[in-house]
Amino acid sequence: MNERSEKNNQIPRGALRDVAEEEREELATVWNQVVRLDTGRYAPDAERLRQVKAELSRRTKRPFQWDTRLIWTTAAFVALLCISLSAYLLLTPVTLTSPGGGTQFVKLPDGSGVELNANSALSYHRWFIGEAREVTLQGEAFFEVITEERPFLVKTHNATVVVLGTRFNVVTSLTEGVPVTEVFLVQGRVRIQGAVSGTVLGPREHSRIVGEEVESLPQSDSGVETLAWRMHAVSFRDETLGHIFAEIAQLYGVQVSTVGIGDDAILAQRLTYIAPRKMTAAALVADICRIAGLRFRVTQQGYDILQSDTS
Amino acid sequence: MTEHGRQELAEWARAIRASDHEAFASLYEATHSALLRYAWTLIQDEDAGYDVLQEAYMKLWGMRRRIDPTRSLEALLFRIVRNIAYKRYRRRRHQLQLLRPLEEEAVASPITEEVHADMLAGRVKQWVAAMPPRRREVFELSRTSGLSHQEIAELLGVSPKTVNNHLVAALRELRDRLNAYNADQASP
Repeated sequence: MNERSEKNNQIPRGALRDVAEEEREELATVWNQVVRLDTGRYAPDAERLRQVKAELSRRTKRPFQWDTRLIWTTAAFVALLCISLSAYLLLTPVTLTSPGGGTQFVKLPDGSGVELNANSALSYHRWFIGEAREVTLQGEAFFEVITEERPFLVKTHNATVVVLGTRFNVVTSLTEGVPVTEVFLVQGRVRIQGAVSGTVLGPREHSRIVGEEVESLPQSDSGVETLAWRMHAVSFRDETLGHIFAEIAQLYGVQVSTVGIGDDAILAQRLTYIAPRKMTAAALVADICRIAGLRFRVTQQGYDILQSDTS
Repeated sequence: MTEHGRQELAEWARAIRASDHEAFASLYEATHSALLRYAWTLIQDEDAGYDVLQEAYMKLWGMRRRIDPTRSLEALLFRIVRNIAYKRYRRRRHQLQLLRPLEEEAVASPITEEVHADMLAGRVKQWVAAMPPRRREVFELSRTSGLSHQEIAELLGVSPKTVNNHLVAALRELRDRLNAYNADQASP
């Protein structure tokens, strides 16, 4: 305890090491002489010191103090919270799930349409930005992709479908525990890619990725069964008859011939039609013909649309 | 000079880290007079000395959670006083340059106060005040701070050897002045 206070009365050890012997004694004497004198420039004023002490006591006893460090820590914390919250809102994908019994139509931010089958889920990023338009599908959906520079990617549990602008159906399923993704293309061209291999599909072709590989080469398919789930939802809003029949042909994979109609004006008629649930192609054609005042004939590959006898 | 050992300082450091204002008050009692003296060594202004003192303790309190109990709390306080004094000096010099450049001379010149010229203490006070700033700072710190030689060197950012040189120079100067003073007193 005393070591330090005594130290002040003695010249610091070694300080005079470089000084000649006789001078050393002399300087030590000066030190002792001077140290005993109070040579402070001012004498402390008791009243001022009391004020300082009172002020320090007042300010340190304050129970909570917003010192700079605390302010910065709090500010940083709040900022971090805001950033992560907005990042969470912006970056978490939107997930849409179709209800148990029905299907759901989704309009994506780029204008593409997706029709979700029952018990299916589609997720995508709110802003749809980046190099590719990317959605993730679980279950089954039919896509109508708007043509755009950026590719449109449908990711499933084991495959990616790469498209530019087209219409196609994707089904994901598990067969004995192995993930399967099945794609049926209606229009355009898509690439379906598993981890190991992939293939390119043309119109009216379908293929499956089983596990990591393509199961087989693309096969032609009418798509009737594949697309049957969609049929109940078919709707035409202010479309020409010509367009409606072409659409039916495409959707059901049947031929709908309108050559029997001589008058183009008939095919240019516009119609709004919303199908009740689960229509077959025949029922749909019959319905449309009845509304438009036409008749039809069943053929080998589909239907011939004819003008009504009475007209 | 209040007696206080390293052990006690380390204990205070730990307690102050935990926001113990009792320990803080004890630290104040033990160290304020040496710190005030040092503040006056650095800035030749009696009022400003008290302000620097208060600011230094508040600064220490503000950074109490960052105090390293293994290092000298006293040396830390001296460093804080030194930083505050230098900051004030720079600010003041800046203000003076902006406002009245001529006043700088008056402020920087040694203050001649009422000195009892016949008393040795008063003379020594004058002599110390007239020393070159660095020499004066080393001398005052060696004499009153309670800091070790090594700590003084660290505080000033110089080698212990340089501290020695300043101290020896200060003592030689005082010796010469004392001799002259004694000779003066001896002659009728």
